[in-house]
Amino acid sequence: MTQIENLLRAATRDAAAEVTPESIPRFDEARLPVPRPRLPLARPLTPLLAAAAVVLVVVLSLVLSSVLAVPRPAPAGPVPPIVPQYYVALTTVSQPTGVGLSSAAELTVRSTTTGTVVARVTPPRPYGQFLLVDGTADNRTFLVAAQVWHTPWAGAAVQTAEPVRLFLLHFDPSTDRATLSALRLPQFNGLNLLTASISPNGRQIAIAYQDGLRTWLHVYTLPSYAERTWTPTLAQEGPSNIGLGRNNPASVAWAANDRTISFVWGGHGSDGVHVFDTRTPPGDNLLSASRFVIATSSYAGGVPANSSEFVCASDPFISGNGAYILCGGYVDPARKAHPGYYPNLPTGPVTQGVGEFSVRTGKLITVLGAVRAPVVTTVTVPGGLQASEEIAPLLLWASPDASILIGVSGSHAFVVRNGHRLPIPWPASVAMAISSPVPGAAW
Amino acid sequence: MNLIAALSARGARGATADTRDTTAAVAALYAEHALGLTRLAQVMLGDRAAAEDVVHDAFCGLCRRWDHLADPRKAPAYLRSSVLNGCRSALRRQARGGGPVWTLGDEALDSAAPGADADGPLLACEDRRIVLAALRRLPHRQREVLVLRYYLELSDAEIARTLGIGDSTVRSTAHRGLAVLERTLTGETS
Repeated sequence: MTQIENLLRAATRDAAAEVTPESIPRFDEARLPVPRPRLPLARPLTPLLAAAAVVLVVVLSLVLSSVLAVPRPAPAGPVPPIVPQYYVALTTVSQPTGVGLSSAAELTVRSTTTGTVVARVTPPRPYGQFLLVDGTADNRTFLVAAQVWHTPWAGAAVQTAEPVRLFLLHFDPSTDRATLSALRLPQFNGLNLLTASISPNGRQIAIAYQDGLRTWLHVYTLPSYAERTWTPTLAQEGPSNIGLGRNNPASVAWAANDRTISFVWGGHGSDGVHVFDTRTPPGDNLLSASRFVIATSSYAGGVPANSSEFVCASDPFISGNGAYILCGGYVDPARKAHPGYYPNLPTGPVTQGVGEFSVRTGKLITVLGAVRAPVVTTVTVPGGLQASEEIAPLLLWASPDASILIGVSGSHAFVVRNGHRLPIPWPASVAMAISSPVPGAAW
Repeated sequence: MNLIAALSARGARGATADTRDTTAAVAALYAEHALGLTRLAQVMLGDRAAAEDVVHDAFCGLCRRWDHLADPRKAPAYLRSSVLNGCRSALRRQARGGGPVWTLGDEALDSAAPGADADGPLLACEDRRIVLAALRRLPHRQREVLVLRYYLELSDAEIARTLGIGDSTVRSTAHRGLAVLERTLTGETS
């Protein structure tokens, strides 16, 4: 008997022991269906009746399909039917000025399997663009942030300073209509807002923002808008941040229990992913009451406590079941020898995929959907110069047990299921939110 | 009365048996097998309410098909197969997002106290909850074979009969499932 077999036996017995004899519901005759006595002729006629039923079903389906058939675009790949049906994407709209700034002037609701647009939403006045989008568990309700944008050609510094308001987007698939309703939350200055995310049940909004050098985490409970706020102690402050960029909901991600969040902290020596219980009393205990799980490279030059060879290309986030921290990225053995910020990219092919870390131990469990390919691509920038660009998988969505994942690598999106990658359509018009390392799309 | 004897006697009376006989027989089967079947479903699903639903549905199915059961002694095997089929359907519903809550992570988080030593002696592969999580992420067939073999301790021939597959398929499926588990739990990335 191997160690794995022994573990398996013990684990399954533990799980079974959770069911005790006294907890078994009593036998309830009233809930049983009435048994149907078999007719004497039924036995010899059964095969004939079954064959007749099959023929009838086939004929009916052919007739109905010819009457009801509506031409639909075919899926681009063998997409499993188990991914959420729709996603909402920040969408670039061409500027009449021809200025090449990326601006998400519209939201599009799209079919996951075909990429086709089923609904479009523009920001209500005076807002001019969307900053971020995050989804709830029902695949119908989404949190979006919209920003005033007076001068689209004036540069990112001005854009990010504009006021930001949060809205709920509700999509009704029976009418293909998407509607926005404003949340009664404070209007943020775009320079201060780091990110926002919505809990799976749609009742809690987490917002991370900076006030001077201090970083705050707020959670608002709907519909009362009751507010809880946490921040690190002043001694733990200094240059700090939540998220590897801005406007990425994964920077503060909710587990399926609507209570536990993960956040990506950068600064003051504890750079990495922390897990936090939002039932914690409010106060300056954001770091002291949270649990450090994995280290990430940081612009502040933090020293990871337990480094692995897996490099996260964007914000790692907690899986719905609370057992894993997940991120897209690649394996780079050189990182292990250089904890902290390490600017060099690996040369040659490396293992890429979705890193799955244990929340309990912080250790890398496996790389899901792994492929071997280079992460460095040479691109030609304006002026004809050659530059190196990192193209690594970015994780956009994960099922609660992380058995199904949706990610994007360069201009290609994919689903990972049972360890294998399947391509899905990915429109070129899906925009990167300002200062965000990932495309703005949510399931 | 011995259950099998009672069921055989009832079977000998053939189609003249009335609904009361059927209900009594199913009740006797429930008393004898509900605990074991619920535990089996709990191992497969990790969700108590879903496990009870699957077991209840299996007994309802048995009740409906009682008159088609040629040999009452096969009722326990029929129930076991029904429960496994029910678990498969429940897991598909979970994967589509309409399933029950996910309790494993809550437990893991609750027991993982803030500041716990991440490099402590409790490695991932020694954590039974992580073993279960890894087990539940295997493809359906591999998970079923491993649970029948290591939880119910059925022989390969019994597993083959329960799942309607060949003995050699049982062995190869178990081998593949164990290999995937081992890779997952030891963190190998190949």
